[in-house]
Amino acid sequence: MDGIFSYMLANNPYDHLFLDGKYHEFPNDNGWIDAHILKEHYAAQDYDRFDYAAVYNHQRYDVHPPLYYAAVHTLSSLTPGTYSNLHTMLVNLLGLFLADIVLLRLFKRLYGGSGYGIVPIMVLMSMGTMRFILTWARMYTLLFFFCIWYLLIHAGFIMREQKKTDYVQMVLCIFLGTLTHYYFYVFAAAVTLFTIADMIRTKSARELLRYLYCGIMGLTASWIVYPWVFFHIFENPQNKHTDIEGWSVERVTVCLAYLRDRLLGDGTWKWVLLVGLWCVWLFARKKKREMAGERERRHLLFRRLLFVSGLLYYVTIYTLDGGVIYYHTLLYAAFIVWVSMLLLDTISQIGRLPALSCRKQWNRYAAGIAAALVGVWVLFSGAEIERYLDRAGSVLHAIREEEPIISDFWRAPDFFPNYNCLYVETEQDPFFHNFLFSFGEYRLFKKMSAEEYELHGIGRKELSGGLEGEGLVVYLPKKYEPNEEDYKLFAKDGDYRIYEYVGGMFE
Amino acid sequence: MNYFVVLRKQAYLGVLMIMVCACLGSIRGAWKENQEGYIGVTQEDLERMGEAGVSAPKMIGVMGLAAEQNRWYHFGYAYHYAWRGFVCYCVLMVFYCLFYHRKGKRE
Repeated sequence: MDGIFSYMLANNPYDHLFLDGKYHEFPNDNGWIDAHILKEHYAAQDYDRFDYAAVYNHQRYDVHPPLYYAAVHTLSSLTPGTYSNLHTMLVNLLGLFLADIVLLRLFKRLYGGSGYGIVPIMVLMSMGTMRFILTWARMYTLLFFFCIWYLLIHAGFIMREQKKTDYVQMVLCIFLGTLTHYYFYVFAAAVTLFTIADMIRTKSARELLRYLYCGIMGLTASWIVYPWVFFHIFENPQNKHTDIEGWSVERVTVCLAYLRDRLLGDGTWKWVLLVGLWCVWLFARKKKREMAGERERRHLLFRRLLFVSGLLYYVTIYTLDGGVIYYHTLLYAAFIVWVSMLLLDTISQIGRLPALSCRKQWNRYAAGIAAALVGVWVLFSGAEIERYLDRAGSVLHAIREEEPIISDFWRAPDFFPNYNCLYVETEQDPFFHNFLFSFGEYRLFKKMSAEEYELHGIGRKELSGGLEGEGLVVYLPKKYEPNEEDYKLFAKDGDYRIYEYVGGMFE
Repeated sequence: MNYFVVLRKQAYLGVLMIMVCACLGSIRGAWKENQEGYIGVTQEDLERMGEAGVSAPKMIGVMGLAAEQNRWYHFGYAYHYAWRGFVCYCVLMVFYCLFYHRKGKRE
C-alpha cells in the first residue's frame, strides 16, 4: 500500500493525495470513468515530466520530506506514460550502491584497508530485515545511505582524522538526510550529542565550533528549502504519535524481543554467541589494555558511539512508533557497523594473545576478514543466505527461459488490452486494495459496492455505458460466484478472482 | 584595518548570519502561506482545458493541479531576509572594525 502511495505522491498531477475522496467528482457515464484518469495518478505523463512543483506540494500535505519522491519522479519522467517497479527499485539500488561505497570507505578509515568493508556489506546482505527494506518502495534505503555517510564523517571526528572535506560532506549530508526522512534528525542528534560530549571532554574548542558551524549550515539550508518540517512536527496534521504508550515491564519485554528477532533473525542462541564474542573481546583486551595507543582508544570510542546512538535512537523511535520494522532502519545501520567492528576487533584481539603461536598469520589482513565472514555466516544464519540465493537463482532461471515472474492475475491488463473493467469493492480503499496499477491500464473503469452486487448482481443497468471497446473484465471477491455462461474465470489471487465477460451484450 | 578586508576575513560569520536570517524568512513565508486559503482551479487551467488529454491532465479545469497550489512565499521571504542578514553583518563589522581599530591604537 505504501509502495503505491509512493508513486502517487511522486507523479499525481492533481492537488489531492487520496483517490477515494475525489472519485465521485470524476466525469463519468453511468459510473464508468476513463481509466486513464487513474493512470495519471501514479505514472508521469508527457505534460508533467520533471515537474517537481507537484511533488513538493504533495509532500507539504503529506508528512515526509520531498527528496525521495523527487528522485522517483525523475526516474518516472524518463519513461512517461508507463509504470515500472524499476522507478522505485533504481532509487533503492542507488542508495544501496552508495551505502556500500561508504561502508568500504568507513572501514578503510577504521582499519586501514578497504577489504574490511566486505564484512559489513555481508552483514547487510544477510539481514532479513534489511532485505525487506531494500526491496520496498519507500525512502528507507536512501535514509540508510545517509545514515552510513553521517557515520563515516563522524568516524573522522572521533578518530581525530577529520579533513576539510569532512566538514563540507557534513553540510551536504545533513541537508540531504533531513530532506529524506525526519527520523534522520533523531539519529543525527544522538550521534552529534556523543561527538560534542567527546569534543568538550578533550577540550577541542576550535573543532567544536567548526563542527557546530557546519551542522547549523546544513540545517538552515534544509529549512530554507523545506520549512514545512516545522508545520509537520508541531501542527501534526495527520495526528501521528497521538497514542503514545508509556513504558511498562511488558513493553520492555516486547521491545527486547523485537530487537532479538529483527537484528539477528529468530533464535536466542545467536545473541548468546554475540555476547560470548563480546566477552572474548573484553578478556583479550584486558590483557593488553596498557599497551593500547591513542588510535585504538579512539577506535573503541567510535564503537561506543555506534552503540549509544543506536540505543538512543531505538528507545526514542520505539516510544513513538513501537516495533514498526522500517522506522528502525537507522538502528539497523548502526548495528551493522557495530557488529562488524566487534567481529573484526575480537578476531584481531584473539590473534594478539601471546599464547597463540600462529598470531603473525592470524593478524594478516585476509585471515582476519575471512574469520569475520565466518562469524557473519554463523550469526546471521547461512541457511537464510542460501534461501536468498536459491530464490535469486529461480528468478534468473525464469528470465533465461523467458517465463513470467509475475502471475497472470497481476498481468491481466496485458491479456485484455482495450478492455473495460468492473470492480466489486468490499470496502472503500484509496488504492482499490492494491489493484490501482492494474485498473489504470484498462479503457474504462467502474466500481460498485459489494452490497449493490449482493442486491442485484451485474445486470444491464450496471453494464450500460461500459460496453465500448473490446470487452469487459470483472474483479470479484472470491466469495461470489457469477454464472458460468456469462463469466469465464481468468485468474485468481488471495481474495479476488478475475472473470472475462463472455455474455452477449458486446455482440 | 580596512573595512572590506574585515568583511572578507570574517566572511564565515557573514554566511552564518545570512543563512540563519534566510531560514527565519523561509519559516515566516511558510507561515504566511499556511494561513492563506486553497487556490484550486486557476484561470490558466481553464484556458488550457481544450488541450486536456493532449498536453494537459485530463481533469484540468475540473480539479486543482498540485503544481499550481504552491505560492512559494518561503523562497521570496528567504531571499529578502538573507539581504537583511547581510546588512546586519555589514553593520556588525562596522562596530567590529571600530573596536579593532581602537584596540590596535591602544596596543
